[in-house]
Amino acid sequence: MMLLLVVIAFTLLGLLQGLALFRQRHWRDLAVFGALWGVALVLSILIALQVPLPRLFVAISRLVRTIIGGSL
Amino acid sequence: MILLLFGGVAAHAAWHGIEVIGRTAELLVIAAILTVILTTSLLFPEFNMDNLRPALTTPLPELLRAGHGVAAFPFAETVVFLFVFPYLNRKQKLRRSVSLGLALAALVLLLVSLRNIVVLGPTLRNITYPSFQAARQISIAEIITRLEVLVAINFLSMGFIKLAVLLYASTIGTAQAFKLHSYKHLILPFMILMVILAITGFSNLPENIEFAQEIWPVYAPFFQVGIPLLTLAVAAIRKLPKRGASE
Repeated sequence: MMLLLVVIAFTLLGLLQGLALFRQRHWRDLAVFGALWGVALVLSILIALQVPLPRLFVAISRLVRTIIGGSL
Repeated sequence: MILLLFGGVAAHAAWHGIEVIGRTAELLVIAAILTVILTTSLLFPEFNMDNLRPALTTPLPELLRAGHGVAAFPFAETVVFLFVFPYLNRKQKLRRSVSLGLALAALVLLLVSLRNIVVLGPTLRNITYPSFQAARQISIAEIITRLEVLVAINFLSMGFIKLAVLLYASTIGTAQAFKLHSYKHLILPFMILMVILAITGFSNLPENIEFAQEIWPVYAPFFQVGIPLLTLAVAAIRKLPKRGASE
C-alpha cells in the first residue's frame, strides 16, 4: 500500500514538473530535477519496503571521530 | 506523515519566496517572543536565585567549549542567510538589521537560559527540553496551568521558519550552482530528501543529542566558517565583483 502511494506521488510529481520543464526546453533544469527526483524515488521506495538505510549522521560521526581521534 | 505535512507547508512557503517567509516570520517571531515573556512572567513565583550560585566558577576550557557550542548552534547557523542577502530590496539596511536580529536573538536566548536555570536548578542537566519542563511548573491558583503547550507551539513555529529558510537557501544555492532558470522545481525533491534524512538520520533521541553536543561543534564550522571564508578568498583573488558589473 505504502509502495503504491510512493509510486503514485512520484509519478504525479514527475509528470507535473518534469513535463513542464520538457515543454519549456529547460534541459539543464530537467536534468537536475530528474537526478534529485530519481534519488528521492529510490530512497522512498527503499523506506516503503522497510529496507534499513545507512545512517548519514552515524557515518559523519565516525568520520569526525577518526579525524579528531580520542579527544571527543 | 507529520514530517511530510510539516515539510509540505515549508515547501509552500519556500515556493512563494523569501518575502512570504519573512512576512510569516514577522508574525511568528513576535508571537514566540511574547510567549517567552509570558511564561517567564508567570514563572516568577518559581524563581530560586540560589540556583545561580556559585557564579563564575566554570574552568576556562569548559567555558570555551560551551561558548564554541553556542556559537556553532545556533548563532553560526545564521550563515544560511548569506543566500538571502542578495535578494533584499534595501541593502543599505542590511548591517543594521543583521546586528539588531542577532542582538535580539542573543537577548531572548539569554533570558530563556537564565529563566530555566533559576527555575530548574541542577536538574537542568538531565532535561532534554528545559523550556518545556520549566513551563510545566506554571500553576497560578491551579487555574492557569499546562502552558507548556505554548512552548511546544513555539518549537513548531520556529522550526517551520528554519525549515523554510533552509529549503529556500538549499534550492537557491543548487539553482545558482547549476545555472538553472528557476529554483522552484527543486523544492519538492529537496523537501522529500529532507524528510528522508529526518526519518533515517538518528535511531533515537540520545543519538541525536550526542551528535548535537559532540560532533556538530566540530563538523559544522567547516560549513559555517570554512566555506564562506574560502569563497571570500576566491572572490578577493578573482577581484570580484568586477567594476561596472551588476551585483
